[in-house]
Amino acid sequence: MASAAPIFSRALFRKNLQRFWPIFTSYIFIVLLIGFNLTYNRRLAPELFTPLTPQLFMDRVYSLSGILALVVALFSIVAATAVFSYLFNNSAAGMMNSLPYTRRTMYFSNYLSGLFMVILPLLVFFLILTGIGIVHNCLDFTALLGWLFIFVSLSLLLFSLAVFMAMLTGNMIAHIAFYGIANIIIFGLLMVIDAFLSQYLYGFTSLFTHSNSYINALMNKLTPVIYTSELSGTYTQLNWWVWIAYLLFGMVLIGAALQMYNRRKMEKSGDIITISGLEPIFKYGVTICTSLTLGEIILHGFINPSSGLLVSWLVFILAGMLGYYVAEALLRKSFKVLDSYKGFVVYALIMSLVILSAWYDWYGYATRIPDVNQVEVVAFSSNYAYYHENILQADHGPVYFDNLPNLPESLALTYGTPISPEKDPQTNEYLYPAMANLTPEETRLLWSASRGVFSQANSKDQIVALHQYIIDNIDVVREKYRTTMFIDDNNRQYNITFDYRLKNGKIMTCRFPVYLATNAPEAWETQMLEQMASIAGCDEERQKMIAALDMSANQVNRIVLDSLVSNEALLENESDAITPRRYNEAIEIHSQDREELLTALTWDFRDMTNEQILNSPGKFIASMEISFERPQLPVNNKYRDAKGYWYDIGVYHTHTIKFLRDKGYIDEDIYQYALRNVAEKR
Amino acid sequence: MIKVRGLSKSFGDFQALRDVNITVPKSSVYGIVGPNGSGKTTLIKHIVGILIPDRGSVTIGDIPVYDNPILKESIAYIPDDIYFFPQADLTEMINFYRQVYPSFNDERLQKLIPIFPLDHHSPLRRFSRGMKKHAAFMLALCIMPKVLVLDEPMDGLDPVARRKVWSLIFQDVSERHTTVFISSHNLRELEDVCDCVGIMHKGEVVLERNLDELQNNIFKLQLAFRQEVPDLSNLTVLSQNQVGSVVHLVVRGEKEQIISQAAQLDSMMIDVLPLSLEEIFIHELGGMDYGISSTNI
Repeated sequence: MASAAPIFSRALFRKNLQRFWPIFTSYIFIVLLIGFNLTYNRRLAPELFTPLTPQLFMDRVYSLSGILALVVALFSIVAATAVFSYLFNNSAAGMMNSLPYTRRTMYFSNYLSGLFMVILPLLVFFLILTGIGIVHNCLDFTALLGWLFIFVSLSLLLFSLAVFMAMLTGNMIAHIAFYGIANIIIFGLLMVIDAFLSQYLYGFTSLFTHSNSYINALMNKLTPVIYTSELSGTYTQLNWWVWIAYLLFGMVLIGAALQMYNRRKMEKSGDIITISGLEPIFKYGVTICTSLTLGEIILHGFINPSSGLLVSWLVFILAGMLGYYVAEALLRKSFKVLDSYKGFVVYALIMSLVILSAWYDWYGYATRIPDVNQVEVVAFSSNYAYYHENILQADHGPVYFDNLPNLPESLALTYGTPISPEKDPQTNEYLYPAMANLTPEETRLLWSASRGVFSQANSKDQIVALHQYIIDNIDVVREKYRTTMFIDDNNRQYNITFDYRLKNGKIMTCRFPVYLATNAPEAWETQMLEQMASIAGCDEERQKMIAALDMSANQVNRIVLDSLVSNEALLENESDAITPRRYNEAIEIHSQDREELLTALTWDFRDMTNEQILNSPGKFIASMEISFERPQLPVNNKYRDAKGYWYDIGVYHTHTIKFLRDKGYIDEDIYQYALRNVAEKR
Repeated sequence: MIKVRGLSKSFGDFQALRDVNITVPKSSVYGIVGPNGSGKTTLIKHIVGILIPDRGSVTIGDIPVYDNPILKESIAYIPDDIYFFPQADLTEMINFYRQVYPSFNDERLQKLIPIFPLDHHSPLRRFSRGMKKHAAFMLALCIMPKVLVLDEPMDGLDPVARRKVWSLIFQDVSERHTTVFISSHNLRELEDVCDCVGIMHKGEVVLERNLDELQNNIFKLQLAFRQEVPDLSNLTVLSQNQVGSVVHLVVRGEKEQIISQAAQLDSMMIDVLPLSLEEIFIHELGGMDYGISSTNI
């Protein structure tokens, strides 16, 4: 009999629109305001006075994605809270459910009235945009329909999510909180898990590295507001399946919420959770989230995160206890909850087990190492000096190599030659091939030019040998890292990172933050430093350094010394030498001195010891910008004209510093400072 | 006819209703009484289809009430805590009820407007409790209900308004054979209007009778003895009180039977008096930890 009843009541629908008209009218007002700024506000959009093209128009429409996604998210919860507000009040729930409707009719009438409130403003906005497009003769109707589909899908998904959350709870504040949490649950969980593992699992490399890009991509897709807000830059490459999936998931939520509404116990109005079976999930969910989030905040905000196992364990357990009892108090609506300690004891035991297992690495995470024969290429760094991840996977995604002074000519030809001899009429710039998805040959070429990336067999052997040595000494390495709370004069921190690209294409990243003694190191520390130095100064790396200076003086347009350490800083306190107290003005090298300077620099790279190359970044003197042309490239090639490349000059660049002193570019005391440092290290 | 069979309902660990069975005859006025927290409102919320029973059934004319819009169109419900849409005035609520209830009767509305003189354009939230009750009665009566369910309906109404409301209810019962289910603490009032009474205690209906039958089955008996009070075990005594030589008893049974049994006790005086509903209520619940005694603080 119930199923024969209509699923929609016009009376309820109209009543909701009468009652809640301020919601959709204010929503319409906001989108009109945004639309006005987009199209007619001269101050915010001065480029309006250039003729609008369909692409430029859609660029502007999609540039609103960030703000519009937030507006959709906000009004979805407002509308859902409004139309289902009677569920949060016992009297209202009683009155509404005594009306002659089935629950299905009640649900759909309220749902549709709320959905109408969030869709109507989008339709109004769509019509206005269409009008603007027609008036300015820049309408791409298909693209605009695509935009509408995207935001209708998002609205349906977020509004359905808000309605689903209304079915879970009988409390309005909890409803809003649940909706907010649901919107960022994936992002939030990954963040707290990442922070937790970073705290306890030695060598953990973060879930958000490039090698875990699928996690980032998945996280974005599962956080629709973030995914939509990023549309402004990528709308020309839309993944329609995502929007269809949002739409379908929204519909699944409609059905799920209906089932929950049909079974909802109206006497639960006011309760935090309306479904008894979900109470444990709520309780332990709050416990875990509070434990991880509050624990991290306390550790990083009030206590040193390196304060050891016992303190951090205590912080996480106490934070969890707070969350557990708060959740219990919310469920019981009473502060008399101390008798429910058993559940917390179980949680604390499990949490302790997880913490111990990560702390002592029962999973063998820190001792993973690939077979050297399976390594295609490896990026090695001891101090985050280079960012390799994109380069390692240049054949599978975007990469950037404009900053390579030794860019191979074939890459310069392929990616520096315009796609068309004509400039783009909209931007008045040449369009170049996208630096992405390089061929295998191009990828290998890029590796051969990139510092910190090692593809030669000898280098790979050296790097894997260092990795193996660290693993063989993992207990002492880890213990020293965990017990050294602050960097002092006796220790220097290295972040040793191995990014392997294996022959099966997979990326394996192993990271070892270590403290190594600078005075009286132990045998294992000496050994590690020697191995790191031999990698830093190996033939493959030196060849790349020298190749970066492989140019004639005729190609060079300009050489400038910048960010030079000031005399005062050096004289006052040596440690201040790395503070930003610089000469105020850059020093330009005269054209007649350029060739000699290039020669000096080249000799430095040849003569520096391995240890000096390893320690060079910590002994900074100045940055040097060399601008040079590549006249052998075609006229329109973007790498042909002079481009500036930066080289760090340290105390170990003895030939260069002597040359600069001899020519009067730098003062004697800087030269002496450099000599003194070199002598000390010897 | 409203039938409740085996109805049970728990709120968490609290058992609000326990195997409740009641029968409300058509065109009758049924009063449900009981102490606070006995389950009256919970029972009413099941009768109007708000709550889902854990066990048991609620039917009207043998048709289940829950999720049955056709049946609910003929039920008017006035709760103790009346809810109107927060911003609404009476005109808006009338319009809403007119759209929701197909049987809404504008002719009757016009007749009721002078009986309940209310400002139709002031927000209902500003109305006093009594005025809200007026509005609720006006709306409930306009939908021409076959079943009228009232939870503490007269709370907040002045005596004149009460009389007006009862008069209108009786008119519906007599003319339209409306069935009225009413919960109230005002036993004196129920005594005057009810045909049947159910007494609830701790989620159970402990007694359900026709009011006449109920009042004919329990009496106040006054006896006077020259010497000691004899054995009274041949009477079903619910309470006993002695002042000097006079013994006051509350006794269950037929009046004639009580008189004949009392006559065997050699009493100087036999006086059988009827009990008010309030007294019956007190004595029926007396054995259920709800006895009334002089309470002093």
